[in-house]
Formats: sequence, structure tokens, C-alpha cells
Amino acid sequence: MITLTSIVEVANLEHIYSGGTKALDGLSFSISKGEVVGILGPNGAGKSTTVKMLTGILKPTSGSVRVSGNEVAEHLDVVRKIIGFMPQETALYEDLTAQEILEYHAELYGVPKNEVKERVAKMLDLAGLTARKDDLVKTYSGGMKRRLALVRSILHDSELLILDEMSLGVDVQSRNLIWNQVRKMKKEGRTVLFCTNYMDEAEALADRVIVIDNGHLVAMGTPNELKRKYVGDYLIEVQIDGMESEKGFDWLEQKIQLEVEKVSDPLNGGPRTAWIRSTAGPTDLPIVISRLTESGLIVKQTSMREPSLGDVFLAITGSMLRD
Amino acid sequence: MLREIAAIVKKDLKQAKRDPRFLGPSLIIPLVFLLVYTIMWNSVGGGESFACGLVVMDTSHEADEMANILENMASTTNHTWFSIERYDLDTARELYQGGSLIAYIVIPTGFGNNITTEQNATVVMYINNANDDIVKNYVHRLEAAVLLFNQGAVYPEFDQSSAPVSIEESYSNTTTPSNLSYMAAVAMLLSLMTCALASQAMQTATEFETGAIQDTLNSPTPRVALVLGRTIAAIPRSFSASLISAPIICLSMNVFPIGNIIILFGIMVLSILALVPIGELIGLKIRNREQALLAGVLLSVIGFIAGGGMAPISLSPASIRVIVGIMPMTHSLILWARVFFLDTTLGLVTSSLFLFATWLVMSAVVVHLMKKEVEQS
Repeated sequence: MITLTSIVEVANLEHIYSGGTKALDGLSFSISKGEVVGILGPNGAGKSTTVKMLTGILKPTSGSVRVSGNEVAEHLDVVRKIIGFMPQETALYEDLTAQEILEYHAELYGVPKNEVKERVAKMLDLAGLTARKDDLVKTYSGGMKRRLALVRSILHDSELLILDEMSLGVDVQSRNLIWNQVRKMKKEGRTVLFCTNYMDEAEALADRVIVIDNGHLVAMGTPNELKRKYVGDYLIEVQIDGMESEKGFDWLEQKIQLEVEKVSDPLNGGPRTAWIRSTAGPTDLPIVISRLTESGLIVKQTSMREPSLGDVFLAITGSMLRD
Repeated sequence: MLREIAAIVKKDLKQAKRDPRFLGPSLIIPLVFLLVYTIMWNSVGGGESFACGLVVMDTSHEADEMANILENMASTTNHTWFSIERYDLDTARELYQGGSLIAYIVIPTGFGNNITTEQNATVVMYINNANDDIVKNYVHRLEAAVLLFNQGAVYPEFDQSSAPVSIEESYSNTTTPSNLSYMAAVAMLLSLMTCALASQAMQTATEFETGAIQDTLNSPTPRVALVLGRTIAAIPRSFSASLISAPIICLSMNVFPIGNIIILFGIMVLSILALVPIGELIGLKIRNREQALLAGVLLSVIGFIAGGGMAPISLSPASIRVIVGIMPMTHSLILWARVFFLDTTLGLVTSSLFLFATWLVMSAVVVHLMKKEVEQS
């Protein structure tokens, strides 16, 4: 889907690493101006590869990546000015102070000379680092470094902010500060694209979510759309006693006549837990209990909640471990 | 682009000021070299490994006697006399010009006849005047041979004016420095070269290893500005090593430059320009601080030894001279030694142009690799 207001247009993107590993395979999506989009995917799904192609760090094997109408591979200098990028690894010059790092960044990105001091001061304030601005970065905590990396990426008023694992390894306070900055940028009408492994982060910030697995786009939409499509409006969790090990997923679906998301394995003959998708949660809950009881099972405990993006993610990508 | 270059220079210099460990190798290595060289030269005496040719063109008994003395005389020190081999004149001349012989002695036709007719007899020594210590060593030994021939060596009161062979020495070239003076002078340059090469290799490798350089690489800064900025920053950084090592060496070895200081300064700048992109290349390829430092130091030392740091390059065989001729250190040393000991600018153009060309070519290579670094997988 490519719209006229798109700031990012990715079409049939393919990337094969030198070892022959296909990191991306026919990936296509677009991002409109002012949108906050989260890219989700298991480890090795191709999230960082996608981001690296958007920033020009990697060249696509085939396909097209356009930022503000510029083909990234051909107009790198233009694209670099448009983009603010916070990489996954917090790599800063450890022998410089926060103030010096931001000033250096401002010079490289051509921030008008008369604005440098003011902008740097503002960024230090946003990152909560004003009091430590003259300390060497090597004395900072992980969260402080991450905050500094974030404000560094927004210092030059980028149209498009790309954040790769923005809150990786930071404490709750730093994470809140980072999230608030992203929300603020959205209010200012800037476009933000971020990759994350944290579902709550995507749920809290993203207008739209793109799920990638094995280099393919497997789902795209607003968090609510994805929940409705892949999980349902509600998720009913039931603890059942008396369900033998040979009775599984299909048997349960047949009995309750609703879609079962997952059933836990029996553990030492104890109760098993089933997660059931429902579009009419409060109405479906008593029906589920009644049907399970009619089938000779004992319902020990039930609960009902709206599904999270985590449920969506597991529904789409499965629960098999990835490397 | 000037703004970006200025920002990069400022950043690099701040980092150098805050982490002066880059100075370590550039201060230690020249001093270690000087120490080893001083001990080696004083204990061994020097010059023994160089071959000397002997051309006997006269068939007289006197010429035979002189040749036998030259071939069989014992050293006045405990060390061996230089190896001496007989050749015909053409072969000796060819080997001398090719660098295989450090010197050759000619006993010319008519030597015996001149002695018997009581005229002046002459023995001629051709010697590579590249190093004063070697010249003195060989000339003294020829003098000793003549004295032995005259039988005057054992009789101090012997009147040399009536000796069959008289000693009449004339040097065709101006005096060259002694080994230790030469070593002291080039050790100052070694300090600068090691700093330029190893510190740049170390810095680039560290920035790639930690990923800190990615911010600069992802910025719209042109790669030319990046490489230029880093090279400019390396100039004062490398000079900081010289500011410490040069006074120490000058004062401790009592060796001071005779040549023009401004030209010497220019040679240092040219050397830095040629070596910094090579250091950058090492760092870019190795991407590990310790390994890059080791590689930078090794290359400096090898370049220094091969390029004439331990012995003037003119003493090396011609084939080796061709190989070391492509190393920038060789040209730096040639320029430096010449201007340090002689107040002349003669013969500087080729080496200066070579260093300048090395800077341009290596910088272009680094710019290309930096471009590839972020644009291709």
C-alpha cells in the first residue's frame, strides 16, 4: 500500500547476506507522515535488517526503499538528513561529555550555528542529563546512555525517527522518559518507526504494527485490528481438571465450539489451562463453563481479559524458540 | 564541509587529550631501539658484516706482499677484520655499485715498480661513504695494512716520510654522521611515525569495535571530510609524541639538527600525511584496539628497519632497495637523515612527491572503504 503522504515506501525488499542467509524476502509496506509504527518479530526475523536498509547502512539485494520519495541507495546524503536513527547498540564516544557529543552531532548534521547551544541544552533537558552534561559518557549508566542516544537522534529535527530497540536494557524511569519523547514527537507530527521485542512498548506507542517473521511480512494493522483478527475481542483462560492427555486442542474446540488459542500440556495429572478466543466475552464465558461441565470436565478457575499484542504475536509467530 | 572537518578534528583532539595512552608506543619504541643499537654497536664494533673487495692489478712481488697483508692481517681489536675477497676490477666495481661490497681496494699497475724506483706508490680504496663510522673503521684498517707493509707499525720512531708506501687520504664526500648520531636522529622520526601510524590504527579500530563511529558514518558528513578531519587531527597528535621524544633524544645523545628546522617540520608533516591513512586502513580492517595497535607498531618497526633506520638504505642490496622504496617510511627516513645532517634541500623532490602521492592514494582508498562500509552489505 503506497499512499501520496507516505514518508517510507518499501517494495519487494529482499536481502541476502554474504553467507547466503535470506534475511528479507519480498517485504513491502509504507508509513504515512505523522504515524508511529512498530515493527515486531522474533529474534532473527529481519527487523534490524529492515531498519538498516531504511537508514542506508545496508543495500538491498533487490527491491526498493524510498524515504520521502528518495531511493535510499541512490540519495543517501539526502536521506541521512531526513532520518534520525538510534541504533540497537548504544555506541557513544565514551571519552566525550554529553554536551560535546550533542554539539558534535549538531555540527555533522548542519544544525544552524546560532541554534546549536539552545538545541543542545534543550536535548540535555529532555534526556534529564543537564546536571551531568559535563561528565564523561563512560561514567553514565546504561539508561543515561540510552537517553542520550535518543536525544542525539532527534537533535537535528529529523522528519523520520527510526529507533531500534529503544528501551533495551534500561530501567522503568528511563523507559518512561523515552516513551514520553516518542509520544511528544507524535504530537509534533513527526513520523516514528521503531523495532521492539517488547509488546507493551508497541501497544503503548504504535498507531500501527508490522509483524515480520523469517523475512516475510506476516501481519500489519493497528493493534486493535490485529487483536480482533488473530485473537478475538476477548481471551478466556480456563483451568480444567479431568482432561486426559490424549484429549487435545481439536477435542476441546469441538466441545466448546469456539476457537482455542492454546492448551497447556498435562503436568503430573494436574489441571490443564486452555486459552479460548471469543468475540462476545461476557456472553461466551458462561457458555464455555457450561459446555466444559457437560463434557465431564471440572472447571477450577476462569478469567477473561482483552487480548494483548503479546497474544497476537504468539498467535502469528507461534511459541517455538528462535535464535 | 569545513564545519564537519572542524568538528571531527575538535572531537579527535579532545579524545586524544583525555586518553593519552596512544603516546606509549611512540615514546617507548625509539628509546628501546636507541638502547639496543648503542649496546650492539659498542659491543660488536660494527662493519664486520660488510664485504670488501680487493683488486690486484699489479703482478709484482710488492703488490703480492701488500695483498697478503690486507688478506691476512689480524684486527687491532678483538673483532674480525672485514671479509675480503679478490675480484677483477670490473666485477668489484659492479658489486660495489650494486651494494654487495661496502668497499674495494685497488692495488694499481705499477705499484711494485714505483716502490723499487722510489717513487710514490698508491693503494686506492673506494668506500660507500654512507656512514662515517664505517668509513673510519675501514680507512683505519687500510692505514694499519700500509704501516705493516712499511714495517713502521712495530717501530713508532719509524720515519714515514721515507716509507715505501705513503698514506695520503682524501675524502670525496662530505662527512656523514656516525652510527649513533644517525640512529639518534632517525629515532626522533621513528617516534613520530609510530605515533602517526599506530595511534590512528588504534583509534579507528576502537571506534569500529565499540560502534561509536556509526553515528558519524550515518550522518550526512561526506566521507572525504571524515578522512580529512581525522588526518588533520593526527598531525598535532603525532607532534605531541615528538615534543616529548625529540628533546630527550637530542639532549641525551648530544645530537642536534644541522638542517633547516622548517624543512624538517615539513618532512614530519608529509610523513604524518602519508602514514595516517595507512593507520586508518589497519584500524578499519582489524577493528580490535589491541590487534590494531600491535599491527601499527609492527609496521612502523618493520618499515623503519627496512627503510634504513638501522643502517643506511644504500648499504642494502639493490633488490631490497627496490622493495623498501615503495614504503613511505623509507622516503621519510631519506629526507629526514639528509636534512637533519646537511643544510641542503638537494634531492628532496622525489621522496617528498612520493610521500604526498602516498597520502593522496591511501586517503582515496580509505574514503572508498568508508563509503562501502555503510552502503553495502
